[in-house]
Amino acid sequence: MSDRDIVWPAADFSRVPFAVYHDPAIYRREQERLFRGPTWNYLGLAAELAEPGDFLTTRLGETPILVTRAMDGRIHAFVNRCMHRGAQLRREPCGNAKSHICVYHQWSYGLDGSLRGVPFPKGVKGAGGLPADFDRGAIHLEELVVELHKGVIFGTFSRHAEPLADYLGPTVISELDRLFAKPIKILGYQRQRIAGNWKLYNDNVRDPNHGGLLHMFHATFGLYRLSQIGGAKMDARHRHNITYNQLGTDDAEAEGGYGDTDKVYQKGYRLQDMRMLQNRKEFPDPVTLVILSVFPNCVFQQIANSLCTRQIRTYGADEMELYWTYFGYQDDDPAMEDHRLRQSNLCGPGGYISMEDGEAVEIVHRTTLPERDGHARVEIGGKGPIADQPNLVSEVPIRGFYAYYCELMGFDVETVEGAAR
Amino acid sequence: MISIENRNAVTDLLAAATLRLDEDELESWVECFEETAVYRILSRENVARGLPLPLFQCDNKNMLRDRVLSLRKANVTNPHRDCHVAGLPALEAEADGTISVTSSYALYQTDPDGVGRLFSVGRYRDRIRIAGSAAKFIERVVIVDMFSIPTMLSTPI
Repeated sequence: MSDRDIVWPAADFSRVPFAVYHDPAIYRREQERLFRGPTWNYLGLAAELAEPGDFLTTRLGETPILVTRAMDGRIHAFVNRCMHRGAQLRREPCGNAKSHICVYHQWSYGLDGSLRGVPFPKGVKGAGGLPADFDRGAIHLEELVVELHKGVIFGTFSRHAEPLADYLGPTVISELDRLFAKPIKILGYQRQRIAGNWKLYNDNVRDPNHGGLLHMFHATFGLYRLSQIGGAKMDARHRHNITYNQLGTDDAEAEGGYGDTDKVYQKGYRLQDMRMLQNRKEFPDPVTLVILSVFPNCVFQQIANSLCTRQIRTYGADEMELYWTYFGYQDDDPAMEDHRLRQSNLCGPGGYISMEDGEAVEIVHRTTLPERDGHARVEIGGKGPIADQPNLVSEVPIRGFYAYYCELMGFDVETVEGAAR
Repeated sequence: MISIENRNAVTDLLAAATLRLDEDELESWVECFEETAVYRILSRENVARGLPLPLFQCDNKNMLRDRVLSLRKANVTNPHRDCHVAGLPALEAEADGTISVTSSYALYQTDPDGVGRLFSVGRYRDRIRIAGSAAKFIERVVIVDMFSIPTMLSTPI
């Protein structure tokens, strides 16, 4: 692939070439320059590794990763691959162990990633075994740089990444501080396999506009309407995004905007069991919905009292897994935990207000496949400079994502005038 | 000992529960449940780890009615037709007169172009009460082995 094969006709990223969702060469370059580049990627939560020896397996992009808590309490992340012949080292999703032993030839590693033992190092009766110059001390699992913020584990392959706090920026950090103000308790996991490119999901979570149009449960039952108080905030580089809104702040006049669509939400319906929509106030502010997207692989969510992280794992250009980790707080009483479990119905692959996203990603992926020279039109909320949005009728944060994406990918971008094409 | 009549009532209920979903008769599917019934879909991964998070949870029949209302009036689903294939049920009489039933299932989905896929495999763990000649669920727990859900989980399993 050469850069000429892909055209970014607008310097304000109001056009996204469909080819970026499909081209295998672009996918390979993303693994190198984004996922193994100077980005910080969500790997898990420290609460999942409470004890020394606890480990979990995950992915950074498509690379399998092993995250462990060593005996000294430090958290390490490694490529989950034996340094001998490349076999997957840990095959289970989580566990506790004093060492990691490869099933293929029993090479064994300490929790800090150092090679501890190889069977029959001297062979048998003086024959076979390791060569004289085999340097066991020089062999170590490929290790990532790890930093935590409020118990959220981020990792990077790059020794040149900026510090995590600078990468996230103060706006994102204040949201993480809000969500992880207290010790958390893991409630469980959900997974969703989506036959679409991983960036289509990043587009989705940077698009407050679709929340009140695609997810009609929101609008029908009043949890989120485009006519409510809300907006989108970004970091200084516009690579991360925070979409927020406040329940019950509908503006009757603004609600008339739905009249212009051919799919007006149906009024007059209410749930028989209203507990699903109840927000038990637990934050000092009135915000009832936060969708915080951190470039390139994760989302942090508050929807009423349903709290979770969503990790994007790539499986080629055409497939991704969304990995949802739900949590509450350690000081939740049984009634609050019960409420959070009930409200988990709102999200996930079967969630009242999120189930549609899998389908939305797939229908875009399918129909853009033959349109190699086509472009997505990203103009809602305006063109030109990328800035925070004081309302929800906007998709400007998508342009922020691609501005940083093109920088890391090294794509040339044409002039603003090109947007007229 | 479970009488032939009761065994028949249970198998009639199991057949109705999946056929009504396959025929998109969601409202009459809800009638397979008692008012206080619990319906939950759980991921095998969470069950194995002892974690309580469901994929889908209705604590009573009203919540089932809400799910069906939302599917009919609000949600946008992947257009598909369901086809459940159920394994033979194992019945066990409980001390309180209810019957516990375990069975396996495979659920295929076919899209509007006539292309099908295996959507879900797992087990039903049911608690069924028989009143008169009719059986109803007081609990239906679906444990999904294929817990990485393809596309979306819209219609119940």
